[in-house]
Amino acid sequence: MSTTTPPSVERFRADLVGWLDQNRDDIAPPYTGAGSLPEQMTQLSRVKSLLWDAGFMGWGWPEAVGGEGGPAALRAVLGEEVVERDLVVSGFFSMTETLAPTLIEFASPELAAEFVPRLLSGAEMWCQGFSEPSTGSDLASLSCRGRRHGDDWVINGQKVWTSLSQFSDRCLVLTRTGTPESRHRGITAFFIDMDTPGIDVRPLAIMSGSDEFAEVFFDDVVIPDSRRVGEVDGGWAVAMALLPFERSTAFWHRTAFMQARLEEIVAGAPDNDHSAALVGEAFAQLHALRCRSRSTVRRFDDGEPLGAETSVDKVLVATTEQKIFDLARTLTPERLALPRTDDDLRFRDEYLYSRAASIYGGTSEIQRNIIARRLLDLGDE
Amino acid sequence: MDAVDLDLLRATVASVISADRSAAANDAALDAIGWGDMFAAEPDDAVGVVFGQLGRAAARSGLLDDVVGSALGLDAGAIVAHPKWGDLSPGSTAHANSLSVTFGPRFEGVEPAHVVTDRGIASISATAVTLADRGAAGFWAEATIDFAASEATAVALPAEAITAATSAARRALAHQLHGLAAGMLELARAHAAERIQFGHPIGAFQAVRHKLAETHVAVESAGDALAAIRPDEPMSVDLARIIAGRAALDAGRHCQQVLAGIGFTRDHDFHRYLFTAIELDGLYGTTAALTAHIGRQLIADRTLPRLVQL
Repeated sequence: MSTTTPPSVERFRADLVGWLDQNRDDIAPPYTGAGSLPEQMTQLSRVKSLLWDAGFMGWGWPEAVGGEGGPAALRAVLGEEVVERDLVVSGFFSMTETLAPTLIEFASPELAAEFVPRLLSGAEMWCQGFSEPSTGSDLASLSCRGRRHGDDWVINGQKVWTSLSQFSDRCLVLTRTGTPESRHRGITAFFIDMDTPGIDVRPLAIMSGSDEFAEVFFDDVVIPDSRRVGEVDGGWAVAMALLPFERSTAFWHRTAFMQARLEEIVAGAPDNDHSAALVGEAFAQLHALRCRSRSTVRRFDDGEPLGAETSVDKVLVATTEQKIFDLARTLTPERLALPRTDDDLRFRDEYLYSRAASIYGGTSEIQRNIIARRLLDLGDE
Repeated sequence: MDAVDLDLLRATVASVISADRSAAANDAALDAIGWGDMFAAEPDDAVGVVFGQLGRAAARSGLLDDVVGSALGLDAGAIVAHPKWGDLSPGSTAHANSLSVTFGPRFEGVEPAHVVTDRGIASISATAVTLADRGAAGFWAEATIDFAASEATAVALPAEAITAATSAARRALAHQLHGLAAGMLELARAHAAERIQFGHPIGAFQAVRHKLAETHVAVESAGDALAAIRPDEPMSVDLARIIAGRAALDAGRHCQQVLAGIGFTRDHDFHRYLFTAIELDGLYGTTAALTAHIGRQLIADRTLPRLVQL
């Protein structure tokens, strides 16, 4: 697959689908239903490794980090085909879409070249330490401290909602390096090894099936300045730079997950007027999201800056996921209330997780605030 | 047409149409800036811009007759009798000699008209038409065609032609509904920025901001769905029509609430948008009926079509 010019999207998809079909038995999850979290993580690593070795994973990533170049649309399609076939948990797979670009853009070229290939190939998993118990929507209020100590930094504090940190080798952490009142002007990002002494990971028990989130405690964690990502006190730009990546390719992957689930619902929906009306509405909603998401991926690849208008994408992603799972609940409520099979349990977990779609990655309320202030010119609250 | 041309066209169209003018006056003005030639040369762009702006301005027009007529091989300026309000597709004359239809503002009771049926077009004289009162927005009228009352010249057309005409109508209507929703949002947004209560513009209050933000999402969705229409895929037109119809419904609800008392008066322009959206919703199928129609099709197929690909 390694050629100098990128394949067209159609060609890439055709080659990928052919390979996925040919290797169907090899690449399929070894478990039924959702699997346990450790099983899902092993599967994720295995799938990425197979895709990396087969030459698909590198497309859409710069050659400096072991990639093959080419547009983001190629990695959008890769995730789409893999997610539609239920080979991986979509949200876990898509984390690469935000973590890799951040390091590529803000870390030293040496750091990016050393580590990004490990993430792409599935050899490593990374996590993101942003939110804190007192810092949710108001990210600029974070207080986990980074204190300069010679050529090193010493980190103290606590992060929460760090996805998959208990399985992660590295963590991108935002710290308070300015004064306590410095808000977005006094934040610095670091790329920390999770096996550094002083790091304690405690999984959070959440209402949906697996404990994929954790609290991470930093107790005098010493890291070298070479692990700084971006400028001192320049961490806000690092955090904001994540958004265009997340809201383009990662969102496209999520639409593929939603499409797969809606198709399952349609496959078993009763043939009556009520059901038809609800199915039609959910499909129209998904269609709106796909049209929007595709436009955003294309704008990204055209080099257009993605900004506040991606808050529309975020609202749509949350609304659509919830609408699809609301539909499933309406049509088969007993699967939610009285799950029997592995598939029922998976459905229950995914229904519950869909309730968080309007919460994580920026709540829908925050998105509406952004739309009002930045897109509708309504001034300040 | 490129983006610059389209913007120029939008501005030109906006400058010649008005909610205060009759449909005939608006259509004459559009004719004068070259609607006929544009529609012949670049139908998708012409329809998109003109119908979008008609919606934006809540302006009346009979141009939907040209859109449908052209798809059925009629001359420009022909008067078309569209399906009964609320029906998804043209009715049948197979078992009855009369048909319920909907007329646009072009028909004033004296001209011949071309009735779209499920099998083609029947050209009839005005004596065959019994016209009911016009709708609240002033330009759609229910009517009954009595085929026994006059000589009808029937032209049989293949089913694909009828489907294409229906699709063309829905596409134009989708653009107009999108424009209406965008127009409603702008009215409410401007009001929220200017109306002062408790020492602040009401747009400073989060409940108001969020209604307008939701409306913005709906309007953007309609625009994206219209941009994604595939000429080879009628369902992409139907979905754009549904999404635009939903945008008009959502905008109606949210913007009416933000506009509050002043928006409820006939002095304010909002009612023109609301009434137009209400009337247009039933042409070639209501948003709800079309949604259910697609749902039934998906359930019958048991799969989802992959309409939007990178």
